[in-house]
Amino acid sequence: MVPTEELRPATSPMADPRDIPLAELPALGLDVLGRMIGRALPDSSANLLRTGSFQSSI
Amino acid sequence: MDGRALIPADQFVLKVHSRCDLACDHCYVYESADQSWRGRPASVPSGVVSRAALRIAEHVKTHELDRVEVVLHGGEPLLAGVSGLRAVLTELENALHGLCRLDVKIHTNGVLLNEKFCELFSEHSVGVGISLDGDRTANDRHRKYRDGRSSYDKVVRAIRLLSDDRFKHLYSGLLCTIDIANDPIRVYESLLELAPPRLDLLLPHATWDAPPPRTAGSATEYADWLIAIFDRWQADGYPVRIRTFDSIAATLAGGESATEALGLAPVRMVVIETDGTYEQADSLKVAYEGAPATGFGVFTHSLDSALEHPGIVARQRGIADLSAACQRCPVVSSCGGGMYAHRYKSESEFDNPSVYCDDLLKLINHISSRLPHVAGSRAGPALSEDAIAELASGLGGAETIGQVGRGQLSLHRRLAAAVYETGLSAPAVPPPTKDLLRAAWQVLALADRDGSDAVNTVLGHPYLRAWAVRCLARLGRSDAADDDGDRSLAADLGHLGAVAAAVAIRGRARARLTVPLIDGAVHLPGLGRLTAGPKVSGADGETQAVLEIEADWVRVRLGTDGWRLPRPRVLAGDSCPAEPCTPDGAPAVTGVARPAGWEPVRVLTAPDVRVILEDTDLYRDCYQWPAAPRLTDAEFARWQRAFGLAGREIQEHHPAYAPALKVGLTALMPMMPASAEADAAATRQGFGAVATVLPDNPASLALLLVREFQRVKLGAVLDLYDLFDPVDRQLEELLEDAYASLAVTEFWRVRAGLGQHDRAEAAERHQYWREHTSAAIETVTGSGALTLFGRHFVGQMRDAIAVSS
Repeated sequence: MVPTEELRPATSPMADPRDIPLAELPALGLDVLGRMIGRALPDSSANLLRTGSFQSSI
Repeated sequence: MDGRALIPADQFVLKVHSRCDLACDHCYVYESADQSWRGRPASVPSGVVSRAALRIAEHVKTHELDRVEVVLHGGEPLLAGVSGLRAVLTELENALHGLCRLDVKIHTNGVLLNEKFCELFSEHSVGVGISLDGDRTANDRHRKYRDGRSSYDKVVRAIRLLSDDRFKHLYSGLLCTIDIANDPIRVYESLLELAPPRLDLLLPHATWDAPPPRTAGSATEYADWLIAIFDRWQADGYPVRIRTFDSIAATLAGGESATEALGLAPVRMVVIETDGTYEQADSLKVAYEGAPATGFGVFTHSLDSALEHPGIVARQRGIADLSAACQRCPVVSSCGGGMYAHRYKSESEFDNPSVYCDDLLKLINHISSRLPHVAGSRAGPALSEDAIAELASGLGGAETIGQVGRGQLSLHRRLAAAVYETGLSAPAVPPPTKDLLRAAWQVLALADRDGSDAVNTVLGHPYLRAWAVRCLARLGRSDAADDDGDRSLAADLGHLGAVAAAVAIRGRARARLTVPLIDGAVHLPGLGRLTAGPKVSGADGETQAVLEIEADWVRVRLGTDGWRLPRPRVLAGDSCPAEPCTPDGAPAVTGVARPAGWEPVRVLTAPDVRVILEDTDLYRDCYQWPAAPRLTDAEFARWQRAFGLAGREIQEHHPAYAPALKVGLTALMPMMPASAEADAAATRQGFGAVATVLPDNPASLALLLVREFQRVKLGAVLDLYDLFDPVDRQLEELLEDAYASLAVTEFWRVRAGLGQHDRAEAAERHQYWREHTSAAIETVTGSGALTLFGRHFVGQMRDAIAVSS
């Protein structure tokens, strides 16, 4: 068997099954939540995932 | 280049004006070592804009980008004027039209912002961020006109204008530069009063040569200042997104920072100055004269040239280009060495930790300690190698489906949090709806903290995802507030209250929650719905009901009417009349309130299998064919009979599929028989659920259940792994078809061997499906779009069909 780790794409954040308490999930913010659920969303929700890290704009 | 692939930029900071109408003494553009602004055009010439737009378009084409962000910046960008900015926006839109999505933001001091600017920004969907350092006292320490006048009133007026209903969709957030002389809580509260969708608290730019002001003997005053706000923010339940805190939490969780000031993510941004030169992050101006320069520009070089500049490359190589001290540091993945400019020291240039190193360490450790589960060690992958191998062969036992289900539950929990967070931060959501979201989330978070199984039962419901995805899709649209079909945004978001109510009822908690009234009913996911008499309709203005959940009763108040339901009977899934009651819960005289009845979610059972029959859930209609209305008792009895026999059929003749169905099939959704091929369906938006018509015989239902559960399984795999690259909807359908057909082939193989009267027909069908499946697998394989992992997965499918003879 070929080791799966070699076959997998870069680890998907959705592949992390930890149960983070609901009370802590909002602390992750939309950027990280968006990445964690990105595959579950249709294209129309893509703008939840913001790009850009320039500090002098928000 | 060092042989690595170039990392493209997706954010471009376009300097549209290099002068400013304020004279803030902490400004990095004018008050720092680099004074290059003096030699640049004040306003960006049209030739530079058109060339910059073409360079961005060239970059998009070269790297096949599907989205870029342009930040209009300065100096003060509003000094470019309405017509100047209109020309810039038009140029960018024309250059990128049909190539990729373009998101534009502008960052301004706000003093010139007026309706004409806002109308322009609304026309072009430009998000507006504003700099404000806190209350009047805080702001006026630095943000003043040249003659010393305060800018505060004008900035606040600008924010009020942005908060107006006409323009609030443009309000992007506030940037506050920290001054430790200001009281952190007063700064936080004053910024919060202006209701920004997000804000950030920026460390003032400084280097080891020009360190930040500190009280003698203190090394961590900036951390202390930020920690005071973090603690208050957490106690407040995170009422606004704060980018620095979000980024630390994200990096602690193994994700990426949303700011260049933190984390190890590669920089993907280029600054384009008013003379067309490319620069690195302009914060480098604080290091030394000429520090941000690349030597390239729009007239002579592509953006790739700028991205090959050693200064940018150094910020794309993660930990490898950090100082030795940073590389050894336990929090390096969160701080990432801090802001690049803040590492500068004349003698060792950028090969140093941040001048804020002690502050960052203290802040990150504090946040880590306050978010223990976010910061906990990373768990292993969602699926084991054995589980993947089982699934790839077309099967998957109880343990494998259990792993899949746990991953889906985790996803559902995050989706619920995302709806909550997105709803709170979306300008289109009215404040009363935000209040309902907060109340619902509080009930959910408390139940979760107390370890209530009810939370996972309710959040694990198949159609929670369909609801969440619908909400997030609506919130992601510019017309989010418009009614979508027959449902308002408030009703969709308000469903979180119904989710919380279902949790409270199941968890035997007390709660008071407002829930939407939709189609004349109060829907409690997984439990059932309360339908009231004909007076109840949206047209009558009734859009919400109040639920009071107590130890023995669930009370429902709808306008002037009230009813109560015995909680044990709701939990038991019993049908029962809703008993009229007074506002304080006492029984009322019959006839005082409209008649109302409780329609429970019913349960279908078969040997070793128990599923809910979903014919009331609001979000169940998420398949390519429509949902059937609620079944009558007689219809339900027919379904129960058929389901029991189908379950027995699977257990006796197709036992390889039985354990997965036992663990993973949680709901059956009666579907309208819309056409001959509309027999059953499954969707990625409803893990664990199969939609089906009621076929004539139990064997057919068994086949539909097995076939559609294949789609359920594959959808969960696709949630976790890229089987094809890029994601291709058509290929996804082909793969789904092949994967479902694997089980159909196996079904007919078994039937042909049973020796029953349909033996010949079964053998013929087996042959047909075997050929169909093989052909589908070869089509998928031959598409050339499978990833390495996808080829391996589909290869195992091919092996499985090869032995089905």
